[in-house]
Amino acid sequence: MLTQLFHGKFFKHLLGSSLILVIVMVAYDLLTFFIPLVKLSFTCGLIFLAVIDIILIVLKLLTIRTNQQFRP
Amino acid sequence: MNKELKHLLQLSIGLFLILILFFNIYYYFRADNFITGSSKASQVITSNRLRAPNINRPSEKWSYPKLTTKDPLELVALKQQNKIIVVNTATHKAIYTINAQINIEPQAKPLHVLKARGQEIYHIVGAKHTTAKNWLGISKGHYIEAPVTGLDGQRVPHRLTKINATKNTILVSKPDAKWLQSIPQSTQLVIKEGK
Repeated sequence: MLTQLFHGKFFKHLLGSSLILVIVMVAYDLLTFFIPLVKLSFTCGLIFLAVIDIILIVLKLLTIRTNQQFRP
Repeated sequence: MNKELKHLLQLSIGLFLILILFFNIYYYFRADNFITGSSKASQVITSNRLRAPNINRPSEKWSYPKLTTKDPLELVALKQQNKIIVVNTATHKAIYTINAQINIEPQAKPLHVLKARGQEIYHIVGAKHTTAKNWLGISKGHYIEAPVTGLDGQRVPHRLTKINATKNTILVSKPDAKWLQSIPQSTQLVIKEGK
């Protein structure tokens, strides 16, 4: 399951989506100048990124497992 | 765009928005993040605009609000957080937050801004003295001022938190001290411990 994950393009796509998410976080931080939303500190942003990436990896592993179970 | 990348992007942005929502709800519900007497939203906005404490720069990355003699203001000094929040008591909004080093103990009764203000001031400690600029007199012999030199005669560091304490004073940056001189006489100054 893990080897399938490492051989595919999943981690490249994950990196791409993480980079776009960083841009979204920066845009959010700029928005907090004008809107009363709580500003994200650098550490908080990193933690959020790590949590989201872990959730995405877990979801992908579950998808691979489900596909393997239902393979004829 | 690749299908997997598209799905990953949608999921990650969706998760980010959910996390941000819970983060904001948690922050707003924690009472010790806010002072009473002004709206939470205004306090969040003014603290979002704060820059790192520097004696040569204004505290916020924003222009100073224009003050009129009719604005009923209150200064709330939070000792542990090293901040002064300027509150408009009529609209119950925080209008500015100032990075400060507060060297006055919390008082039972509020202090008041006096008419006395000036360009330079000296505090004598034994045979040595400290100098400061743009001072504002506060009741019971206290001052709000911008430090220039320390007891050693040397210019103070740029970082407000690294400056040695001067008793009975609140130390702020030079631009902040100049702006605070426009605060009307008899404005209340409440000093709290903070967190």
